Amino acid sequence: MLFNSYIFILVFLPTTLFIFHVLRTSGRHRMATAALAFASLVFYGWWSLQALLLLLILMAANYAVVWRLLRSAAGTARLRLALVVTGVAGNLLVLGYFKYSNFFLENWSALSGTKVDFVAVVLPLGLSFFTFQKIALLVDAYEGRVRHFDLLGYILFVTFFPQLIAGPIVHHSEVMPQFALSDSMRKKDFAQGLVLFVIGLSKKVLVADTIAQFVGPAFDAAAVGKLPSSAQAWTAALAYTLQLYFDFSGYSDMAIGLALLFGIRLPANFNSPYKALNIIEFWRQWHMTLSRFLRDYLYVPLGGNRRGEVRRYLNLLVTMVLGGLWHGAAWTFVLWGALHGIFLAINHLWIALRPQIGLIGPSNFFTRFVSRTITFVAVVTAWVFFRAADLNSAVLMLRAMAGVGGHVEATMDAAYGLETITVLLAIVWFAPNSLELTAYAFAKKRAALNRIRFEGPMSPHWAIVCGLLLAFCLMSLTQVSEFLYFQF
Amino acid sequence: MRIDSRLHAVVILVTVALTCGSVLLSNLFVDPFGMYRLLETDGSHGAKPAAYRRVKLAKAYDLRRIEPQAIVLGTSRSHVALRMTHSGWKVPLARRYNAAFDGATTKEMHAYLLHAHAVHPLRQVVLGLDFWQLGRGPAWTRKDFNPSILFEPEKPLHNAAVYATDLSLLVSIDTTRASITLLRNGDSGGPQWLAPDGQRLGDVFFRQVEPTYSSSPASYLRNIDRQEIGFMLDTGPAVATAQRKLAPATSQPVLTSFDYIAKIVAFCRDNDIDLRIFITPAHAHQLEIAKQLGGWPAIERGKRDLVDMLYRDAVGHPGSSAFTLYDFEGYSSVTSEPVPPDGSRSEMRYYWDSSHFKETVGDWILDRLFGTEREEDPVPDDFGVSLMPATIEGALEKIRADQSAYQRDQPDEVRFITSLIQQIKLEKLAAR
Repeated sequence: MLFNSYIFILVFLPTTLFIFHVLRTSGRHRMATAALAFASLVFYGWWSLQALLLLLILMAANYAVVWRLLRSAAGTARLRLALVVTGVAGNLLVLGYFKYSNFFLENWSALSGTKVDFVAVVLPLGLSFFTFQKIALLVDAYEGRVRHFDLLGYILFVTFFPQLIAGPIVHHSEVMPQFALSDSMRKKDFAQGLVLFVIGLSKKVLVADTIAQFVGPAFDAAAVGKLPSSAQAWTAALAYTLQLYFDFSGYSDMAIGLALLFGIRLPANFNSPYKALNIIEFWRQWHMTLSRFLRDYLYVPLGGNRRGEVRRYLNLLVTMVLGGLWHGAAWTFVLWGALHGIFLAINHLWIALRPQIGLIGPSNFFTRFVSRTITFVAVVTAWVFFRAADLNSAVLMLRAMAGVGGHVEATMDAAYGLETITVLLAIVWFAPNSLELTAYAFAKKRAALNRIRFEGPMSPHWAIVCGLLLAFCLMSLTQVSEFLYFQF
Repeated sequence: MRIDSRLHAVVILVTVALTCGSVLLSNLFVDPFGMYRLLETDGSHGAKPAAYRRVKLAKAYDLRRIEPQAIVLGTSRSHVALRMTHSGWKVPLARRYNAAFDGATTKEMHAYLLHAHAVHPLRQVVLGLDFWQLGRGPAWTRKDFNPSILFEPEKPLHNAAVYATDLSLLVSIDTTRASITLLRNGDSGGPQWLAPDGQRLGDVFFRQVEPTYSSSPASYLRNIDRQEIGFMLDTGPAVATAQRKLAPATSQPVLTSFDYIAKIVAFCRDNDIDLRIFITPAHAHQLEIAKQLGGWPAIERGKRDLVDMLYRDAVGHPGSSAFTLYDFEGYSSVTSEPVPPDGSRSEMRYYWDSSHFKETVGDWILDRLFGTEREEDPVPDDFGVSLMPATIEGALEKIRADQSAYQRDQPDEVRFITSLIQQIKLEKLAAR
């Protein structure tokens, strides 16, 4: 089930909210939690019953390992190590089978020159996300950092539908204590959640899906070996940069908003990343929960910055390459990750070098402008690899962006594309983000938004605006396709 | 001003309800795609220009409103040429509908058959097949095909969801935009080529809508030849793959294109529907293109398969009449009609272009299928052959002989197609 579908918005969500809050306000907290977990399973099973079965099996297996780890707190170190290694390896094997087996076979076939039959697997929705969450739980249980752990809370932690499919990647310590429900939730949470959900839905349906039309033509042309013009390539790359942000941050807003409707606060996932002045900042503001996971469960265990500068850069590179591979089983993702690893290393090197070449002192408008532009161009360039069908088409796109452009037939209104991109760039660079607007997070940045913060989500004006936005989203969910073909 | 959380939610919900409700009612009455025609109680059929780009949608709702007992299924060839006023139909004029549409795939035809029958039990179906539909490639649908607007017999849950889809279409932005355009421009959306009975009116469409046809029908025909070759080169010549030549598939391939013909036959048999099938008479240019691109063996295989399938059906139902199958695709005085020289303003007598034949030819097809005779306009003797196990091999052999004769007697036409194929191949090579 998708958040941006009628069945979810008009049937699943109202029904689940009604049952949950009736149970909760009548004091039946465990039943409310159970109902929410059951609804989450329905949400997931709607897409595929086989995937639901896999989710249940993984959930049970991980529960058994964590339970054993917690019970053996005083046990031998060897047993505990064996348990956590088995648990982590098991999760990674499942992820590897479903996500990477064909990628591996394809490369094996290319390298060995032998014909290999691909495996007929469908990647279960959200497997990458909930695998990470379970690994974090296993590692924390091993290291004695798990304090709240009960079966029902665990089931909801794993299945909680707002964040099940695409994050935010939550840490058990953030949500499991919240599942011990109280009789009432803060009234403000409901209004705030509703507003965030509507903003997120609007970002996805009204912005991301609209700008998608400017992405396809140049990337599709490059995918079949055609060289787009420079303008076409830049339009597509910028449009994709915006599409990805509005799509993913919109999804995260929806997830956070939905969780709030049930009184659960999820961690923020985006904080105006395109305003970042450098790549380090970008990764603190883009998909923040993934960055946190990669830092805590990959970069730090690899040694982080504790083993010298060279090793630090290597660790950054390895972390980002694996992070790239996590996004998808293709060399384009690996290269995207590697690029960001290199960008991060350069960024750290620059920070170390600046004092030595005398570039110290407070930033000003000009230096901030230059920094932000360089960072943004680097991010856009890397997104080309993320979106391209293969490495060849990525190179074609980059050649075109560098000015060695050809031309492919225009299938869109270029002026309209330019206007749309300009407006959206202005929004991502200069406007407050949805979590600031709704006073959900980033309190330090909210000083200038005091009036909106205090009256924001709860004001009648906001309610009417949200109602109109929601209506427009509902109206945009159905498209009446045109067909102009008269020859057959 | 701050408001209570409950009031906040109520304001949002009321705003949504008022906005969507007013949009829904406006679209229902303006009805830009001609889905409901609530205000046309006098039987008038106001023009809905936006429907011309959404023929599948308009036809799905026409079928619900008209509740026909007899329908035509097929592609644009049947859409253009088969008149519902032909005297051979067994049901009243008001209960006939041409449900063919451009580029229909067999899977789509099957869905529209089920839809029509779910709305009202059918008595008569004429099914027009183009040769590329007889293939064994995976069945598919085009991107504008929407199964959620089509009823299915004895599927109450699915059919309930159809009504939900009605609501979603009525509140959609696309419908709203079309409503605004209709209100702004009135119904002056150009020539009205979509008749109330579902036929695409060739006289209006080709002469008034297609500007290149009016300037030179002969050049228009050659341009269609060029398109056909381009499509076939892109997808391979075999009939088995020819159905990929247009829009990309949007659904998981499970059954083949031919399988859906078998499903149509089985459905008609199970529901006692009089089914008559014909293979459409493409002009000899199209046959020559298929031949030169290596598709001929697949065409013959498709015809054999179809005859065999209908024979098995007839044997399995000894108490019922065998379904009729006519092949008009051979070389005849109709399909071999000379093409005027390039640039000529003369129209052909039987064809709009090498794919689409005129109503005169459509009437002859229906005469053959229904067994009707019109003294004032008899069917040419060489036009159409009934295909059965006893006649199939002879018919195929005759077409092969006629093809050789055509190639011998019309060297200029054959040369034109050969050079066009070479030219397009070179163009495609250069584009790479």
